[in-house]
Amino acid sequence: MPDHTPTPRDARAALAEADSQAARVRRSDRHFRWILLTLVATYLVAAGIFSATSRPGPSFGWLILLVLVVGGVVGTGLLIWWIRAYSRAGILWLTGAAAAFTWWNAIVCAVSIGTGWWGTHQPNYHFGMSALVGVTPLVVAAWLVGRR
Amino acid sequence: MSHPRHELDDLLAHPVRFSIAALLAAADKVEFSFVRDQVEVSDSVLSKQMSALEQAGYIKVHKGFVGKWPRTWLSITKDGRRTFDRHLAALREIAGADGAGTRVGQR
Repeated sequence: MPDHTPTPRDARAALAEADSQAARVRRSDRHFRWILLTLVATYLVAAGIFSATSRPGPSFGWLILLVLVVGGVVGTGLLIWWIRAYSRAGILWLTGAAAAFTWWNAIVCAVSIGTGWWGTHQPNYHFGMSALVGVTPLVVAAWLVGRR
Repeated sequence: MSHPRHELDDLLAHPVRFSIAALLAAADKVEFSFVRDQVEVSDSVLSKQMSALEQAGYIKVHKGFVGKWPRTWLSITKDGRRTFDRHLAALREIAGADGAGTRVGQR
């Protein structure tokens, strides 16, 4: 027990300080939105390259792979260098958004193939449109994380 | 009923140690420089207070490397969180003793 008892005013100041420190951690969690948006950008650029060409060949395959690698490196770099504090909630948002994206995107791909939206006789921009719908969970998560 | 001051923790009565604990209680892991910047203390002051909290078993210090660069991460232990929550509850009681501020500090 401390030597002196804090006054109610001291106690309120300490509680306000605790709140302020917790808010700083929540603000730091907002950095996760940039990682989510990097994932969105990477996926959309790759989809855009695929959509832009009528006959995707090996050279475009390499370009798409390059975009995915660069996006991955930037995302990992952000994670390692920029995030200096994180809460369990922040990590749950990040992993939850990635899991939701994986599932949702798989559904979008399955529906696109099943309905014939993707096909050899369909224009390539259909792929880009599906990609736009596919990234919805990441965009929503990035927006929600930014509001934390 | 005993006075809430009996529930206050001696170590956390120090303002810098209290701020460090408050920051770590809200986080999973926090990097040394982030704590230093948020609590607004020097490296040496933080190291000293960090050691005191670590010796008491309230926090854990994780040292590692990112490439060639050393990184120190801090996290609160279960014991530390329990003590901090008890300390916070006592402060809430004291703050509410004059009928105001009971909502402050409720996470």
